[in-house]
Amino acid sequence: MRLRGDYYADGSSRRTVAELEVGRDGSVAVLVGGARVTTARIGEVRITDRVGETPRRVTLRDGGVFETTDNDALDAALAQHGLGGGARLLHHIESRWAIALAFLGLVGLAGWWTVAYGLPLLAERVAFSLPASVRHSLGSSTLHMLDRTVFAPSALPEPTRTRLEARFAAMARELGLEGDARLHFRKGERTGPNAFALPSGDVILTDELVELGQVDDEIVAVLAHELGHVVRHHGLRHALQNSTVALLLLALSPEGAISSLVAGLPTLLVEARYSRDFEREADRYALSYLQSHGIDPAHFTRVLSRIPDGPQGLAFLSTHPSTSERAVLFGGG
Amino acid sequence: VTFAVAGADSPPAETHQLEFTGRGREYFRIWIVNLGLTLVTLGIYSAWAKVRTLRWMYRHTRMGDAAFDYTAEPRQILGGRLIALGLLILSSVAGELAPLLAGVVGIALFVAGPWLMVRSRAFRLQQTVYRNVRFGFARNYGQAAKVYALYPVLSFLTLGLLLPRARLEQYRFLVDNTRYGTTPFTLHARPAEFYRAYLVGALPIVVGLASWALLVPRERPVATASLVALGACFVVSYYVVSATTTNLVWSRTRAGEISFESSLAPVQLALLQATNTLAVLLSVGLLLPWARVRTARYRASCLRVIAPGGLDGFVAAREAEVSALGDEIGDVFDVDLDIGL
Repeated sequence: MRLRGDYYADGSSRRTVAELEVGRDGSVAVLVGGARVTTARIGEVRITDRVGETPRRVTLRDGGVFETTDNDALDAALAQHGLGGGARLLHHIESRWAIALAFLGLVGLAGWWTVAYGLPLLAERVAFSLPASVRHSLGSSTLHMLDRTVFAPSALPEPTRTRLEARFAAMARELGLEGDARLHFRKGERTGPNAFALPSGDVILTDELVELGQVDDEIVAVLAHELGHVVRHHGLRHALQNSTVALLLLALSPEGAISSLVAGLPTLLVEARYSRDFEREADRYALSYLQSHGIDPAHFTRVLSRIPDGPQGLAFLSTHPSTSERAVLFGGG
Repeated sequence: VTFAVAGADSPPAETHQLEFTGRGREYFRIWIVNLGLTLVTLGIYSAWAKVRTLRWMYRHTRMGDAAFDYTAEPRQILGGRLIALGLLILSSVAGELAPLLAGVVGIALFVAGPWLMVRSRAFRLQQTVYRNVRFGFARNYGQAAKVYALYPVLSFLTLGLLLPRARLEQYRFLVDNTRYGTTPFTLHARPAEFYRAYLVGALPIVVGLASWALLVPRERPVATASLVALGACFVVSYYVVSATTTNLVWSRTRAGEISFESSLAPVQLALLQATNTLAVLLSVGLLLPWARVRTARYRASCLRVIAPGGLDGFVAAREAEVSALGDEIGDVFDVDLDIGL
């Protein structure tokens, strides 16, 4: 079998039109103008894998290189000697449209499953298997940073704080979160009436939110929601899921200036969806706590409805379920 | 494609046009199989996917009846890639959970930056072969530290006045340490030329800011529209600077007797990127292979190589191999390395 191509002697860029002869006995020879310049056995030469219709290089023992686009003939010669089966299979897969479409379906399905179920499941496993000390140290600097950049010290009257702290301590004890969950009062400044649960188990209650509460049970409802985040390790899981999704999408997006835009928008959508899922889980947690303690669940809706509306965003970009959806769950509103 | 121009008594000067011969439909199949196998193997196949993609891209890049090739083996890449990925996951989880730790990672990257640049460039060029002769890159860590750490700090301290100079020195580092076989590349651009390119590039921004300041649109819709127009001015500036400096660097680069001609057009480059982004977004990523091929074809079509003595006389160099770790870290952390081909 003879293949057409170009020959380069070892270490030289001089191009010579040549032929490669592959014998039935496994002998390989490069012919220039009909004369043999170098010979080898087919098992000794290195042949680059086929990728689409691109030229391949046959590197001989002496460092000489034969370059050819005659891919089919080269593959046939290799097949004759039982070589390069894996590479041929890969090329076969890459050159059939039916297989490509099947892969497209697979990638779509696998991508959807990974984002919707796989990652959340994995993050949950990881979060629940990490020891408490690791979780605490992971988030400990966040509160310091928030204190320095956003919050101011709380100006709530001492009796209010003591009362709420006692309720919180009782709830935490009941949930087996002693030492795991800690309550902090802060002036929220530009975050306004709000409550946060950090991955470390720190729960922050802003003065502005406490002032919106007309009875303590309303604040207790909010604390139950935040403790739901703590018990279920939402902060850590959210962080794990978000960073993995961002990595995945960035890895799949094109290089260069486009990549941040192409990866950024879907990342935003997925992160918002994860956030809503966690909020719903914390809501359900709060609901069952309130019901089992004879507290009217509508307290939660009432205090939420008093929070002044921020800018009305798009539902699929929102990080929280809508207030009306929550009102249906908790009643009241 | 080769044009032979016969001189009076000098050997014929050959001008070689670079061309990219890959087709979007061929790449689509390779790309989707790469994605599928990467997913199925939980990412292990990504090393093979990277090598196959680069091989396909390099081998479809042709000049003077010969193709480039990428010779790295997936196994070489896998180890470096796993380490790099571990670092990336660590740093991005740290970014979400401990902002202070993320700052530490950022500083570490800044310090390791020059090392990454050298290793990554050295690996890439060492694995690039054309006509049986490999490219190479001298591992000049001192110069890397100067151009990627010292110059950026200086240009920051001088409020950007030193920025064109810094960019020139970075290009000088990239070009002057590159070899094709034993033939070194050298960059002969002068600072004044870079400053001129940046001044011309800054014109759209200056015009945009001046007209915006003069008109001071107050009505809501007009104000929004004018901000969009201002943003467009910045984008145009970016592409003007990027195209003119790339053209300048190529035209001032010599490799032995060989010289280069680059004719990137800012408007065409900007339109190409804009339509690519739109197509990829609207097709949910399905047109990504097509976008890549378009970019490669345009970039290749803008580069010509003038070889007075032909391309036959180059000799390979012998040197110790570099591991893939630096290239992989640079890859996953998206350290910007590319200056065209």
